[in-house]
Amino acid sequence: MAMDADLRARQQSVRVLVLLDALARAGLVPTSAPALHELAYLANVLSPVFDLAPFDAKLLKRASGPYYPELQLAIDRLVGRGLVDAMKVEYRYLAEDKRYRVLAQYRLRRPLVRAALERHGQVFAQEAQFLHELAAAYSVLSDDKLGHAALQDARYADISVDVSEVIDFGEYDNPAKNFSRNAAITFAAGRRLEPAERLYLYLDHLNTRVAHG
Amino acid sequence: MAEQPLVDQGAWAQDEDKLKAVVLTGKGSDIDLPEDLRFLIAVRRMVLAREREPDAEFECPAAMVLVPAAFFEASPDGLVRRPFLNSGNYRLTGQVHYLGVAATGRSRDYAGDDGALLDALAADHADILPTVIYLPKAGGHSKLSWFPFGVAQDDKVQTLPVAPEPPTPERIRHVIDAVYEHELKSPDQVGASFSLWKDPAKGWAAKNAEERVQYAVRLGLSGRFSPQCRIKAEQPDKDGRTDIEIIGDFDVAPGKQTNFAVLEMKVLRERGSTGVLRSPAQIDQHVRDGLEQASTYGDDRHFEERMLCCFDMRPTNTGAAAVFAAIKDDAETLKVHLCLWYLYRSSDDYRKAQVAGKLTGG
Repeated sequence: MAMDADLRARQQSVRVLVLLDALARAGLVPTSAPALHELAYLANVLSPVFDLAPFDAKLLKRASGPYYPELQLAIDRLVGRGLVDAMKVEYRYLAEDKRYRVLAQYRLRRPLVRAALERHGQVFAQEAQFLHELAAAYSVLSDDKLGHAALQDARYADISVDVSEVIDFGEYDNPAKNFSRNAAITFAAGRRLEPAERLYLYLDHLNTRVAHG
Repeated sequence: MAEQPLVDQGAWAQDEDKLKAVVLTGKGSDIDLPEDLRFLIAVRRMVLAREREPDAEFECPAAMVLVPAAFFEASPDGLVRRPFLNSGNYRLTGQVHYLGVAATGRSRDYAGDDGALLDALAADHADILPTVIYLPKAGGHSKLSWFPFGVAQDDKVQTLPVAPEPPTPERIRHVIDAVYEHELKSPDQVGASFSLWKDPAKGWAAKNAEERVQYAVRLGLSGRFSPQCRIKAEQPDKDGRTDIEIIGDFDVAPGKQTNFAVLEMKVLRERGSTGVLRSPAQIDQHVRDGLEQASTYGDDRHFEERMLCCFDMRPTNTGAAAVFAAIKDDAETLKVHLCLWYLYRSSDDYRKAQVAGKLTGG
C-alpha cells in the first residue's frame, strides 16, 4: 500500500513536469496554479479523444474551478526540491470555496528537468503529444480566462453534479458520462478528423462559451 | 417522452447542432508532420486570416519565429502574450512574433526599417531559429520567406506566396518535381534511413520505397497547399485505400468541401528488397493497377482530378512515352493524369545521364 502511494506520488510529480512543459511550449509561462489545475482537468476529460486513459477520472466539483489536492502536493514537493520555481506566492481567501489557498505562478527549472522530460517524451510519446496539442489549443484563452474556463466545460458545468459533489467520468461511474469527450467527438458529424483537431475545436468552442458567459 | 440523444454532451447539449456544423480551421489536422512544417503552415494560415480582413495592414514586414519552450521561460523584455493572434483580427506587421508550433506565443513591436527587424532578431538571439519573414503587399501579392535555420543563414531561404492556390494537376506536378529534385532523384540526397534503395549498386529497392516516396510527396504537398487543404494519406473505403488525397475542407461551410485530387503512387522496381527479379509484364500490370485504382477512387470518392504518379527505379530510363504506352489511351478515356519520375541509383549515374543527354542534344 505504501509502495502504491509512493508510485502515485512519483506519477503526480511527473505529471506536473509534463504539464508545465506543455504550457511553456505554448507560451503560457509562468503558469498560474488555477491554469495548471485546469489544464490537468481538461487533460483528464479529453484524454479519451486520443485513446488515452484519464490520469484521474473523478474530482470534487468546486465553485472556483478544478483543483486537485494531490497535484498541488506534487507541485509543492517539486518546488521544495528545486525543480520548479514558484513566483508571486500568496495566501488568498477564495470566497466561492470558503477557504484559503496558496496561489503562485510556476516555471520549470529546465536544465534540471530536461533529461526527465526527454525520457518521458520517448517512453510516453503519445501522451506527450496529446498534452502539447492540448496546451497549444488552451493558449487561445486570454489571461483573465486562464484557470476559469472549465466552469463552462461540458462536463464540469453540467448541472447533474452540484458544487461539493464528486464529478465522476469513469472511475466508478459510466465513462459515457464524460460529456467533454462526447462533445469533442460530436464536432463535424460524420467526418474523419484527427484527434488533435477535435482538441482545437473543443477549446475554441469553450473559449466562445466563456466569452458569452 | 423525449428521445434521448445517442451521445450526451452534458452542459453543451444545447450546442449539439453547432458542434456538428462547425467550420473546420485545419488546426491540429497536421499533427504527424514535422514541427517546422507545421509551424510554416500555421503561420501561413494566420497571415491568410489577417489578409482576409478589410483593415489588414501592408506597410511593413513581420517576423514569426519558432521558439522552444526554454525561450518563453527566459523570454526577452517587452514581449506580450497574444492569444488571439490567429483570429485574423489583429495586426501582424511591424512586429516580431515568437511562437510555438501552433503559432501561439508572444509578440513585440519593432521600430525602423527591414534592417531593424533583423537586428531585433539578432538582439534576442533568435536569428538562428526557424523563421518566417512576412512581406506584405496588397492585391494578393504578399510573400513569406522561410528561413528553416534562421535569418542568419540566408542562403537556405525559400519563398512562398501567401495567397492560396488551388491544387491543379500542373501545380501538384510542380510540387512533386521539387520534391524529386531535392530528395528523390539519387540516393546520395538523403540519409540511409530514408533511402529508397536497399542496395542501389545492385538495383534492389527498399521494401517500403513506396511508403517513403508517399511521405516525401505528402510533405511537399502539405507545404504548398495545407493552409486551405487537408492532405490525407492512406484513406480506407470499400474500394481500397488511397495513397494521397487533397481535400479542400478548411474554412468552408459544412458539406461544401472540394475533393480536389487523388494521387496513386507506384514505384516501378526491377528488383525488390530481397533481390527477386520482376518481369516487364509484372511491372506493366503494376502500372495498369495504378491506373485502375486512380480511376476508381476518383469516381467513387468524387475527386475532380486523378493522377497516377510513377517513380521508376529500373536500370534504364525509357521515358514516359514507353512506360505508359500500354495505358495511355485508357488513361485519356478515364481522365487520369500520368506522371513519371526516374530515380537514379547513384549521383554518378545521374551525371552520366546528364552528359549523355547533352551530347545527344536531348
